[in-house]
Formats: sequence, structure tokens, C-alpha cells
Amino acid sequence: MNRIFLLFLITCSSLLSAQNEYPLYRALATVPAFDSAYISTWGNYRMESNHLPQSFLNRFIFGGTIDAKLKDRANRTLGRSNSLFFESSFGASWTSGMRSTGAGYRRFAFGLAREHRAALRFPAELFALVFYGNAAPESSGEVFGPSAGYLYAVNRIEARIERGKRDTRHPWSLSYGVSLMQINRFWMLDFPRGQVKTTPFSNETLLDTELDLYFSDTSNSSQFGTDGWGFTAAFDFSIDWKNWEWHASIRDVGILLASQKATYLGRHASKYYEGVDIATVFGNGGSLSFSFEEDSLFSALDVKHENRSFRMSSPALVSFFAQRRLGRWDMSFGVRYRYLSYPLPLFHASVGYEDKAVGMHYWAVVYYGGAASPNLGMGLRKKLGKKVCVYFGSDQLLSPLFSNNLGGLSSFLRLSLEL
Amino acid sequence: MLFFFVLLVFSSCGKKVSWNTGIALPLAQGELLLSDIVPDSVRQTNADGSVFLVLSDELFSVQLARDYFKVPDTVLRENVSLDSLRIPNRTMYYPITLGAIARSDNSGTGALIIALNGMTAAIPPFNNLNSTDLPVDATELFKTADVRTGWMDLQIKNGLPVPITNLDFSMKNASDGVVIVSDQVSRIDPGESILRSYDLSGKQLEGQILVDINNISSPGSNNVPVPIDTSDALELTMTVRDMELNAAEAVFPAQNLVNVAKEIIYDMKGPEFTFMTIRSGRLVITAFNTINDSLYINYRIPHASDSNGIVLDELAVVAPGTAGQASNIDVDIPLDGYRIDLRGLRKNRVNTFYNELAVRIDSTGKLIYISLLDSVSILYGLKDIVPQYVEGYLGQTHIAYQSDNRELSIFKYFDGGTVDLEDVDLKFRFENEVGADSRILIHRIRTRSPSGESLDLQAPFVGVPQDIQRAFKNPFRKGETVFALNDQNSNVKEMIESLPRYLDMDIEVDINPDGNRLLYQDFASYNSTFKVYADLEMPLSGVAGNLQLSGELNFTFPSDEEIANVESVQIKSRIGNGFPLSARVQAYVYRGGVLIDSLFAKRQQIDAAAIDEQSCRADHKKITELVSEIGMEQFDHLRTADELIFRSWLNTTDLPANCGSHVRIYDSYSIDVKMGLTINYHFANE
Repeated sequence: MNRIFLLFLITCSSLLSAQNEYPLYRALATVPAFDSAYISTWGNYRMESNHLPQSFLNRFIFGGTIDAKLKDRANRTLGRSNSLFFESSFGASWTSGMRSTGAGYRRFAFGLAREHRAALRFPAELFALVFYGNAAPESSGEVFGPSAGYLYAVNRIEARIERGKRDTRHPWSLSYGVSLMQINRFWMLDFPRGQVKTTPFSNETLLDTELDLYFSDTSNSSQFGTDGWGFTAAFDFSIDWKNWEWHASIRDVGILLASQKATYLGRHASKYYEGVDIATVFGNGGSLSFSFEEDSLFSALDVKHENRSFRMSSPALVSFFAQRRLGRWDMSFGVRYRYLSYPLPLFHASVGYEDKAVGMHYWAVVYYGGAASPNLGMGLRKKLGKKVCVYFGSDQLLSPLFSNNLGGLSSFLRLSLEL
Repeated sequence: MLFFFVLLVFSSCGKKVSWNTGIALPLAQGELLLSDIVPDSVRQTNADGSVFLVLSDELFSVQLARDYFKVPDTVLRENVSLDSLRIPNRTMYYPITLGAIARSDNSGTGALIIALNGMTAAIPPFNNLNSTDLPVDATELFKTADVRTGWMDLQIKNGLPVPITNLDFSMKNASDGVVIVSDQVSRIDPGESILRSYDLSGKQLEGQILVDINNISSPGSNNVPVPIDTSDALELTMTVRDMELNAAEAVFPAQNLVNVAKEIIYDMKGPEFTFMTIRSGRLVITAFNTINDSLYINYRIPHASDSNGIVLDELAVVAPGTAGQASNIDVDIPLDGYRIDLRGLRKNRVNTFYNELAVRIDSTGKLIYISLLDSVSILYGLKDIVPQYVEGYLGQTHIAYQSDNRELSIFKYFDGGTVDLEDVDLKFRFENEVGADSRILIHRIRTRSPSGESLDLQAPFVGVPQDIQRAFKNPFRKGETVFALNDQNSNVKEMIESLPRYLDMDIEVDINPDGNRLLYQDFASYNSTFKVYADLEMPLSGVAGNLQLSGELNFTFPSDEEIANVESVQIKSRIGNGFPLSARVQAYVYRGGVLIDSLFAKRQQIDAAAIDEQSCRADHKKITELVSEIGMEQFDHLRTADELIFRSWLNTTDLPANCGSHVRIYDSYSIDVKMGLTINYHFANE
């Protein structure tokens, strides 16, 4: 029974998961236990940083002045390669009831979602250059790199089909889905190398960069405007084997394509800049005034500017985990990796407890890696009556408590109604 | 910058995120050679590398032809009535055969003659034969004609074999029957002829005429057989001549209606030109025509030709008009570049041009109606003539010129201080591009410095009329007269050392003061000028004491948006001065002409390069480093300023004892400038 129940929950959780970045503890309590059709709505918010402390991120997220103390504290915590990752989504889905087939069962689902996702990887030198400036002693003037990042906001529609078999020795399920995404906002940065070196007297600067920046049409700020299109696919497979549910999935495999109105700014140049050239002290008509050659700072930057489309592989998520139920307790461990976003795989482990007397399920999770600092998360699921299921929680509870050392914020909420 | 932008994009919640950062930017750099400071146009170098200034300032200029020679418009009117409407003399031959006479006879004689046709027989006498309405077609000459004066000559030749007697005939218009001519002839022998002339004056003629032979008799052949041939005839030869018409509907021949040749004499108020090349101007012809035929207007100036030698000869055609509705034409022909001989038809006048106007109708072969009431009105002539070049006698012109507070460009950047110059040479140069005698009288040349100190030039030519050489042609050479001044013959050195800013002048110029001395040999072009220059030449060698140099810096202050987040600015300058001149510099911020701030807290001192005892030159640059803080208050002042005046106080460095008393400037001297900017910038995503 437990096995069947476990399989059922995992099956449910696999549906529509591509739109919705689930909390790390993703089985048992995190999905509704409905056999018939149901609808769900959810909202997630997640920010990860492996080195920047939460105190710094709070200002960055919630506004305010980043003062010198805050900058110094963040600067001290930075490593050689620093990552930021952000995503949020909200949406709704409809899932059909299970239909038995000769070989097992089948169900399908449709969903709509609004998603933001962004990732940035940068070296400490770049942080110092940005937040202290090239005039400050914190900016070493040495070669730094690489930096890379992306940001996009999309409206997604997804359709999924799931097949499975439960009444077997090794229950299994396989689901696959496709998504069409309308892109509203899209940025991509590739900054493999840079150097800004200025003499102490500020009269000579070496500006050496290999930089490509793409951004979609900024004049189109509507949430339903179209700056491009994206297509992704998702695959999930799970099987019950030796009292463990083994789960493997790959999601968001696809491409994002900006429209032709997108902009490209690039600089692949190394230029020694000494300021504009004073040509003469006589201006036009022999009037006494300084006149300068047309070698302006902007031309020294030598930035290439074009309007053209660009594309990016969708930051696919590869996930693997195993879960086991032990009476009222359950446990899981796993690893996940998001392409273009995580510097390391993210390892996680969780433990849960279900109190059937009050219809609640609690869990706690610890993790390490990804773009995040080591952290602890907690959540609960509550069944309200027979047809309503709600859960909420956070994966990053330590960051607010140790805001000068850890970085990351998240929260999630989901509400499901059986039809 | 791009990365800043990306980071701010990553900040969420739409909240304002901001931080301060220090941006260091190289601002400007360069090596300012002497050539960058003193323009090549005024700088010359001696063999030893020392520099002297050669400046030329134009004090006075006049363009004589442009400003003083005015050519009046000459537009003439010709009103033409057709007092000379003519048709040509024409002759028509018309035979009246014996057969025609016989057939119209009713007495029986006619029938007998017809019966004997081809035989030889005696013709009996016959009397009172008549024949009426014998048609004569003259429409090839006219359809209708109201004859003012004219004649018709009628020759009648007897081609019959018998004499004719008592011939009574008349000619009448076919339509109204009005008799034009009526006459009798007593006898015409065979083979003989008579000639009669008839006055047609006042007659209304038609082209279709009928001849009536009211009576014709003959004594016969006197019983002598004669050959009878009914084709024998009375031969009428009619000649219409000397026809002047009041009106006619006729085929008019080509003929001139107007033929005018005139000499027009310009009143040039003094000048007497023999030749003129036109810079700009135009020939205008306006014509009105009531004649029911095209009008051909031919205007010529035989003594005007363009640069290719083609004579001005214009033909305009006016469309046919009617008595009630004149047709008209406007012709406007540019005359730029035409050269006109103004000596008239016989080449013995001045300011005179000869022109011809002819108006004609052409022969079209069509019947048209023209009467003496028709008219042609023509306006023609030259307008807006501006001469490019004139020859002759330019007349006497008196030009008085006074200038007050004329700014001198030479010292306009100097506001004060003292300077002791080693040497000064000043030349007053009079440049005459006009081919005419000139005389100038300089009453006063006075300079004034910014402090108000004024000095009158004391020089030999002041107050004394001076003849100025005229220009010559073939080949052209302008006249030039120079008066050289130095500290021996004038107070010019004192005047220059006062750093004059303004000049007052009072001068008079007389053109051809002695009249037409060279008998029409003067010339001038539109651009010919009479100029007075002051040419200054002085070595850059002297002693400066707090010599104050000012200039406005052309700058565009960044917009409020661009600098809204700038909290303070630090300007760092490193100056390598190779000149033996020290400078204290300051920039003053003005708004509405009121001084509101200065850019630096105090004047910035730039040290002078030292002069070497051996070479007496500044061999090494003196490095000065300046750091200037500009705070928010100064920033606000700069943002609202409308003028930024840089001012420097220059002092020459001390000279070693063996290097004389004046500091020389050499061409190799230069200044290295490197400027950097450090900005405390407040970045924000708002």
C-alpha cells in the first residue's frame, strides 16, 4: 500500500512540474493525493547565492542604499566564482483523472504559468569594479573573468501526458510534455574576460574587454508583449525498486529565441585611453578656447551595436533523487543541476513526518551546492476536508538568521482542489 | 557600464537600489606645441628657432564698384499703330474673248460672228454690243480691302481683227454692286492698246469683281475679209499698286511694323564708363498685341556680347491677339557676363548703349484681318544691372570713414598686466585694387586698452594727405603703398605695449582727386577693394608681468539626467611646462553676467621652466601636479552657469645675467598636459 501510495504521489508530482520549480523536498507532501481530476494553483519565489550574504541581497531585492559597510561585508565573503540564481513563477493547471488502459493507466494535464528566471556568474574583481569603481583601491586592475548570465520572463503553456503501471512488482511511470513560451523579456550576457586598469593619477586607463550583451526589445514592456518565442520539452521517469522510489527527470530542454528587434552590444577590444586629445587652444575662427579631437570616450569604448535576433539554450534542469517511506516517516536524497545556472550540482536530503490525526505532513531539508549557500528548509502540507490540499514552506530558513554569512531566499505555496 | 546595467536588471521588486562608486576617467591629454598655441598664420621662426609674430589686421576696406556705382534701370516703351499697313503691288491679266462678247449680244451680229468662226470673211460694222457681269477673281490679293490710298492701272489691248469704238465699261464689287471704276474709250485699233489709271483711295474693294461692257462698237473690216477667231480677245491687264490700307482681310506679306534704333545714355552721377561687364542683370521685354497674327519682336544690342563673343540678339514671338483681347508675352533674359561697349553707335560717347528694336509680322499664306486700329505695345530694356567690371573714368568719389571702438583681434585675449617687448615693427599698408588715382588723409588713429588708457598714433603721415598708388591692368597688379613705423619714427612700441583692445580711426579717401587725369584709363571690378592694413611684426621676446590672458571655454555641461548621480568630482592635472613662463590659472563661473563661483578654491600655480645659463633657453620641462576638488555646490553652479571664463596671469621667469633682459620664446617649447577625472557616482536603478 505504501508503495502504491508513494508511486501515486510521485506520479502526480511529475505532472506540470516543468512550469513550477518545486521545493527540494518534492515527494509525498508536496503534491495532492487525488486519484480523480483536480486543479491546482501555485506561486514560488527563489533566490540563491553561493557567496553574497543575505544582508546584501536584501538591499538588492527589497531596495535601499548599499552602503560601504554592506559592500565591504559582501566583498569579504566573495569567492573566485560567485553565482546568483533567481526564479519565480505562478500559475494554474488542470489534471485529468487516471484512466486505466490494458497496460496500466494514463492521464494528461494542461497548465498556464508566468515565469521569471535569471542567473549570473561573476568574479570578485568584477564585483569590486562595479561596487567600488575603478578609482577605489579595492579594484585591482587585474584581468578578471569569466562572467555570464541570463534573464528571461515568459508566459508558458504546457501539455503533458503520463503513462504508468501500478499493479506490478516494480511500479513505474513515464511522463513527457511540451511547452510553448511567449518571451516578454530576455537578456543574455557573455563576458569571458575584462580588465580596467587606471593609473593613480586617473590620466591613463586600459580598457580591455571581451563582452557580448544581448537584450530583447526594451520598448515592449507589457507582460503580454512578444519579444520572442521559446520551446521546451520535459521527461520524467520513476520506478519503484527495492523499497525505494527512484526518480530521474530532465526538464526545460529547448531553446529561447529573441525577435529581430533585439539589440546586441559587443566589445572585443583592448584600448589604452588617455582622454581626449587636446589639439589646440584655438577653437573655430581663432577664438581662444580649448579644442579637442573627436576621440571621445564613447568611441574609445569601441562598442559594436546591432539590432539582431539571438537565441539561447533553455537552462535545462537535470534531477535525480530517491525516496523511501518508513511508517509515518519518510526520507529522501538527491542531486540536481540546472544548466547555465549552477556552478555545482545541488545535493539535498530531507526527512518528513505525517500526522494523520490532524491531516498534516511536515518536512525538513538540508542541501549544499547549486548556486546557493548551504541551507535548511522546512514546510508542511495540510489537507482541508476531502477535496482541498494546501502546502507551503521555504527552502532557505537559515539565510535570514545568518544574513551576514549566508545568502538565499525562497517561499512556496500551492493549493489543489479535487474535482 | 553594461555590467552595471545587467546587475540593476537583476535587482527585483522594482525597488530603488543604489550605491556609491568611484569612477576614474582620463579626461584629456596632449602635448601643446607652440604651433598649437600660436597659429601658423601669425607665427614665423628665425634661424635660431626663436619665434616672432607676424600679424595683419584689416583696418578699413571699401569696394568701390559694389558700393558706389549704381546703374539705373532703363525700360522704354514703344506704342505702335499700323500707319503703314500695306499689300504688295499685283498685276492680273484677264482676256474678254470675241466669242464671249458675241454670245452676250442679242442683235444678231453676235450670232453671225459665231457662225463665221474659223472662216475668212469681211466683218460688217456693228454697234452697241454689250456684255455684263464678266467675273474677275482678285481674291488671291485680298478678300476685302478698305483702301486708304492706292491705284489701279488698266491696260486694254485690242486683240480683235477689227477696231473697236465707243467702248463703255465699268468694274463693280460682286456682292454689293458698288462700282469701283467706270470709263469710256473712243477707239482702239487692232493690235493697239490704251493705259488708264484709276484712283482707288477711299474705295471698299472686294476680291470678287464683275466687269460690265455696256457698249462696244466697231466699224467692221471695211469689206476686207479677215480671219474670224472667237478666241481673239480684248486683253485687260489690271495692276493694283501703291496700296495703303485702313483695313483688309488679305494675305499680308512679311513686313516690319516697328523699326527703332536708339542710343540710351545713362546718368551715372559722375563716372563715365566706356565698357562694362555685367555681373548680374536682365533684359526684360513685355509686349501686347491686338493684331490677329503672330508678332515677331527682335531686340538687339549690337555692341553687347557674351563671353563667347555672341552678340545680344533676342527674338520673342507674341501670339495673335484680337481687337478686344490683346495677347501678351513677358521675356526675362539674364545678362550675366555680357560685356557692353558704352561708347554708342559711333564709338565716341560714354555711358551710352545702342540698341535696336524691330517688330514684324511674317507671311503665313493665310487670310487675316488687320486694320489700322490694331496696336502693338512693347516695354523693353535693362533692369537690375550690377557691373562686374567697368572701364572709363570712375569719377570723383569722396569716402569719409570713422570707426569707434573697433576691436583689435591682436590683443583681444589680454586683459591687463605689463609687457616689455624687445622690438616692434608696424606697417600701415594701403592696398588699392582699383585702377584709379586715390588719396588718403588720416586724421587720427587712436588705441585704447581695456583699462581705458588711450594713445594717439604719432607718425609722419598722420594729418598729411598721401597719394596711394593705383592698380594697373594687363597684367593686373594692385597698387600698394606702405608706411613703416618703428620706435624711432613713432610711438608705436608704446602703443603696442599698452595691449590695445580698441581702435578709433578717422580717415578720408578721395578717388580721382585730380579728375579724369588719364583720359578714361580707369578700371574697377565688383570685388576691387581699397584696404588699409596694419601689419605687425615683433619677436616673441619680452618681459611679462602678471600678463592677464582670458578666454571662454567652449563646453557643454552634461544634462541634469546625466549628472544627477554625480556627488563630487576631482580633477587631477599633470602639467609639464616647457615655457619660461609661469602661470596662475583660475576659471570663473558666470550666470547672467554675474560672477557666481570659481572652479578652483584658489588660483592654480603652474611653474615656469628654468632658463639654462649656457643656452639661455628653457631646456627642461617643469612638472606641476594639481588636484582640484569640485563639490556639489560648485557642481550646481556649473550646471546653471552660462559662461565659464578661464583666466591666467603670466610671468616670465628670471633670466640668468648673461642672457639679456628679454625672455625669448623658441619654437621647440611645448606643454604636456594630462588630466584625469575621479567621480564619486551614485548608481541607482530608479
